[in-house]
Amino acid sequence: MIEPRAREALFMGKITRTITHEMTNILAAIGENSALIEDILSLAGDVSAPTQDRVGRAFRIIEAQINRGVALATRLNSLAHSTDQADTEMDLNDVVEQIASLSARLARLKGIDLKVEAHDRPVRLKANPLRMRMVLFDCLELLLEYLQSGGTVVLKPGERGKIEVKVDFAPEKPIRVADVDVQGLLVSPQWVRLQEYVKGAGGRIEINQTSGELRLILARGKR
Amino acid sequence: MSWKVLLVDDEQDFVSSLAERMELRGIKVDTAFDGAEALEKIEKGEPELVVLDLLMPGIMGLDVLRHITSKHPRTKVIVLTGHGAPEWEDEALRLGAVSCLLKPVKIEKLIESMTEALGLSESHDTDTAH
Repeated sequence: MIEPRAREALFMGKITRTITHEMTNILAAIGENSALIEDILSLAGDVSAPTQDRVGRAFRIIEAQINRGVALATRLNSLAHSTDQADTEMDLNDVVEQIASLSARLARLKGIDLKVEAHDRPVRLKANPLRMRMVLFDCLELLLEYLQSGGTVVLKPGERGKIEVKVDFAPEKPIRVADVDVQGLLVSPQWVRLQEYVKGAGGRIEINQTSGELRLILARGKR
Repeated sequence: MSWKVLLVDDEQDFVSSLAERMELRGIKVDTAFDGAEALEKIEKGEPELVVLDLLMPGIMGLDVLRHITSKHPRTKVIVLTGHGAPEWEDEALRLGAVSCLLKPVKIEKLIESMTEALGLSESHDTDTAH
């Protein structure tokens, strides 16, 4: 029997897959009609060169925004597919790219530059795809909450016997994972949630405040 | 160009403008907005090439593809679809589609794939519009 939470995830996944597919169709239709106008204008003999240039610039902007929308819809569609998959083999490079893309706006609002340095070869991992993405997203959310505006976060999928995601952050302001008193209370809820996820995945988190590194160490991957 | 293309997609605003752009480049194009209409047009006048969407109401793209490969093996098929069904794209290639492209696609890329599918050189008459 499927748990209510899992049913909710399946529902959201199905709706999101359908809508993102529709969004791509909409963007494709906009793009094709925009390109058709450009074709027609290029064939019209009575349009001045400056006007052609201005129109051309506007079309380039439309094209860039369509590409941006399609990239986001594609990432979101892929995320939605993860809601109905059991443990699956995946490439950590793809997962990190996807989460970084979907989190770009959150980072931008915080004034943080979010980058990915993909490994030069696939980093294979077998895990629950939705949980894996949630772990990474929580890790990012935690960082974005505590980092100073103007900083940079670089996500680096790595492989040293274990699957790692290394996050470089500006060390000027350490990550405040907890306001711990003598009884160990007042721990950041994001930190607790992150620890739970990572522990549940058989991994751990290491933070080096001095060098500005956070390592999310997950289960052993396939070589 | 002497060859004829059938564009099959239920997104009418997309397929109509794509057809018009191809015609501006000298390609003879016919359109079908669902699988049933596509099968009817294929039976009436076997096109050299079909650009086929997979997810359509009624007869789905894969069923149209099965019909083409079994009844009209000389007709080449290029799948042009949105994302969301990678397993269907694999199945389409297994069934005989020449290639799978994702929307939105640049018309130059689509024409390049079409000429490759038909075994033609790329020095075709596309100088009407750029």
